[in-house]
Amino acid sequence: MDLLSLSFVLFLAVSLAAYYLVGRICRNAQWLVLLAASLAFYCLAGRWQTLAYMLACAAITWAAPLGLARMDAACRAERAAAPDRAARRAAKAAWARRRRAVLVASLAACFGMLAYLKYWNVLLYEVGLAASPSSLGLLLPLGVSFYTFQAASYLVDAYNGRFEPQRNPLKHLLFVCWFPQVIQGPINRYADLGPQLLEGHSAKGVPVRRSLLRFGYGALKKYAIANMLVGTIDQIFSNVTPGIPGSVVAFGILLYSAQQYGDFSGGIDMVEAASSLFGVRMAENFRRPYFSVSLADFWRRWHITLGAWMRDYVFFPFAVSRPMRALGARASRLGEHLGRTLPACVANLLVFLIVGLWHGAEPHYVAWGLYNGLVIALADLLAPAFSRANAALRVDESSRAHRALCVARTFLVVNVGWYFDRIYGFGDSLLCLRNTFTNFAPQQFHLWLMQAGVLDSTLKFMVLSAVACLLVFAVSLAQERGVDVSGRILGWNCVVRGVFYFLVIALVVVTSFLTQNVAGGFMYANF
Amino acid sequence: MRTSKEGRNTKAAQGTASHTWNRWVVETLVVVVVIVALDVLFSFALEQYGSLSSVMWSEYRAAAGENIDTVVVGSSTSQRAFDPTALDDALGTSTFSMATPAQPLDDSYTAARQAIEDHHVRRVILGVDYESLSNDNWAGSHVAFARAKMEGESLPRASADYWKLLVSPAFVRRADSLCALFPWGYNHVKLDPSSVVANVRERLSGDDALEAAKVVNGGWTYYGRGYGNYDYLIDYSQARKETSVAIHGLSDFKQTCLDQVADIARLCRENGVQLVVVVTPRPAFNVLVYGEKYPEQMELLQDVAEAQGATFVDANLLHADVYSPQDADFGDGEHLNHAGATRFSQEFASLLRALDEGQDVGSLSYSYDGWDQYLASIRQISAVVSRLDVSSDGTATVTAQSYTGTDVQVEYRFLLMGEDGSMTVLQDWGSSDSCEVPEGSRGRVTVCARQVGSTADYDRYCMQGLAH
Repeated sequence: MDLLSLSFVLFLAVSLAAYYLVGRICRNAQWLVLLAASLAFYCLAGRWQTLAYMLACAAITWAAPLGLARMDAACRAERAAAPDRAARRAAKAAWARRRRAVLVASLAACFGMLAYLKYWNVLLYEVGLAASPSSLGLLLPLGVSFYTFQAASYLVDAYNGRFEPQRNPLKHLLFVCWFPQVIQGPINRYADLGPQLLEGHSAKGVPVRRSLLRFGYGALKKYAIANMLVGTIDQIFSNVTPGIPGSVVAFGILLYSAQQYGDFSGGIDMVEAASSLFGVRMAENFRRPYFSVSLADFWRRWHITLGAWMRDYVFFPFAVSRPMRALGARASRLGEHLGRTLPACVANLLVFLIVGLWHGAEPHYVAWGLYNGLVIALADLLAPAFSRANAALRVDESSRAHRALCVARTFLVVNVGWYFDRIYGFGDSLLCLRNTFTNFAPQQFHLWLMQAGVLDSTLKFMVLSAVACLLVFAVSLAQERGVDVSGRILGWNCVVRGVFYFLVIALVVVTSFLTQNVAGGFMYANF
Repeated sequence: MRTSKEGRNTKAAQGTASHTWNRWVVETLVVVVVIVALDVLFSFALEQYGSLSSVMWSEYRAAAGENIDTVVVGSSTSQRAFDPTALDDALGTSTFSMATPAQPLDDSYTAARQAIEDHHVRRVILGVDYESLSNDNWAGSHVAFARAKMEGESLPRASADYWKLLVSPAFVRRADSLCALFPWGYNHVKLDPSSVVANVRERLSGDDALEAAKVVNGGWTYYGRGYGNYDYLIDYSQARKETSVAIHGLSDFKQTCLDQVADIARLCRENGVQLVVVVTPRPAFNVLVYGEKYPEQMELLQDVAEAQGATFVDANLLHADVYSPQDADFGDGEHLNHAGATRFSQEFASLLRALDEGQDVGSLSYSYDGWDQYLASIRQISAVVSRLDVSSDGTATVTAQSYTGTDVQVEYRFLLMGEDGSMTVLQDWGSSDSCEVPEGSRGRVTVCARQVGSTADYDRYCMQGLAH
């Protein structure tokens, strides 16, 4: 089911009507409508046969925190009954071990399911024990990584005592399977999302017009940018040969840059809008990432919730672990900065290795993850040198020009990363990277595209994508300057607004028609 | 206890809320009206006036009071294969063609049902080709078909028809289900100023759909009873570009398409209507290009049709004494031209007569089980195509491939046609199907093919461009 489809509109309309009608009768029961809608959506949009995996994940992450709470109570009772301090300490240590065992077992069960569904077949294929990466016929549940990561965050937060665990299994299930988030995230936290899902809302406070505007903006990104470009990108990179001109590679990577952003952030805009129609605000996942001033900044603006998840559940626990502290202490003998940043650098490498693996088990994803980790680590390590160089060259770091330069530099660095992400072969990625610098050959650009099957008409129609990109750029630039773009548009004269909406709709209609053979799904739907 | 001031404040607040609500409603209405108005304006300017779908429906409505006992449904291959006049002259029937370009099978169902309801027809001829069952439905043709059908209907009926399209399985889960509310995006003229102006001028001229179609579809002639065709001839030297596999790719039949054929057959059976499913004629090369896929997949269609009580005929597999297409019968690799359609319809009428007399028409054609017999029955070279391979050391080789029967022996000659028009023989007549092109050659290589023993200059030829 496409998000921009009559079936989704009808589904949304029925769900909203039921939600607010039930709210008029019994506000406490509204969450049941959300649960029913979420399960129905999962069966309609995904594969109902895979529902069991999500239910199992929800069951584990519901039961384990309750078990942990009981263990806490038992620990308190045992400590209260202990005759002396040593006995109390021993009881605490024993219960802590048991708690940790429960946490590890639960996380292993959840991530084990994820690993089995997502990586097992690929691994067997890589070692020659499977005919293809999908020969086992394992059905990948819709949004499996997203709900697993979200459920895992609930488990760890409950383990750390951040909140009282949810006793009602259905309420917990709603948090795991909330339908706008299962397609491609964001990865929400229970403390933010849980109360919103359960508290009930009235239709009065819902920002309908803003939500619809955001939905349309997402559709524009998805159809006029992502879907329009994906075919050409496939044609360019499905046949990488040693002679591929760097100009074609660079063009393909730039298109991929736009396609990936349009697809992922467009989809997120649409689901955020759908969620907000129920009065439920999900976590933001993008904040104009191509305006980042460094790669680290980029990862704080791109797929924000994954970055935050990695920071809280991988980076910090690992960076402050005993071996890392010891490494920091040893490194500080070579300099205070090195001692302080080296553990963080190693943690960053680990985080981005996992991010790479999260995208897939193929070597090029691992390379992409490590590239990001390495660049961020080196930037941290060399930060004092950069500062000194800036000072020596009298660079005004607060100037607009410097900021623009940083944005351009980051854009280049991110795009180099996309070589490893998009070109499905590590060797091919390196080849393309080499040709970009050593065989740019702009004179072969058109001929090579023709040979790859890219039609002149396709290139001509890219003007529509360019128009959409310009629109997105203008909106992003205004937002970057703190302008409330939605508010401005909603403040326009309604006739002007009608004309503007029509032109945007027209762009979506035409591009949707031109890309009918493009798969309607989202890139991250199977993650 | 509430003071009077509090009461006034509450009333004022209610008034403000009511005012805001009213303003919101009015603004929303204005926005919607502007969008609808622009949609109508764009549809007027951009939506194709005089599409072949609208010709079919307008002519069909014009024939409301006439007797129609046979209808032809299907896509353009069906539309350009059956000449109703030729059929009627031979059979004494009254045939109307409801086939339209790229007509999806569910629209064929709609057309057949309409004809059954309106005219109680006794025979439906469903013309199909490989792509009718292997390709995804093209939303544009759905929209064109539905919009053309709506033109002569009352508003409630037209709205119901369009709603049915939007909630149909091909649309409802896709963006098309919403985007088709803007039909000009689906069935539009070329998006250049001259085409748009011509379209608007045609609309304002007062011409009906048929007259407009003649203007829009240059070279197209309407022969009546819903049937129109072109007279142009296929260029066999362009066979490589003309094959359906080159145009559409090669994939298996879709179960949804087979189910739709079964639906049409069920509809006919339940209404006591005879259904004849016909795989329309095409040049032999465009059958052979599918290889073993053709009999494998077509047999599925035959099974589905016959299981539902329909008659199945593959016109490409008919014995030569029943029907044997001539080179000049085809307009391109998939369609007959008018002369070809007339000839085919006359021959096909004999088959329908045999069917009406209770004869087994299955014996008139080769079966898919006997595919080798069909291959052996082809006695001429249908087409020759070529490809250019350049090895890593820069050696260029042109390789030819003939589409012909298994018992036909072919010989080739390779000529280099220079950029100045000069002709050099690279390799004279021989059985080798490949030829190395001398280094530095420029221009095109002409590949000639003929049957061994023939003294003709060539039976078929094709041109191969050289990469420089």
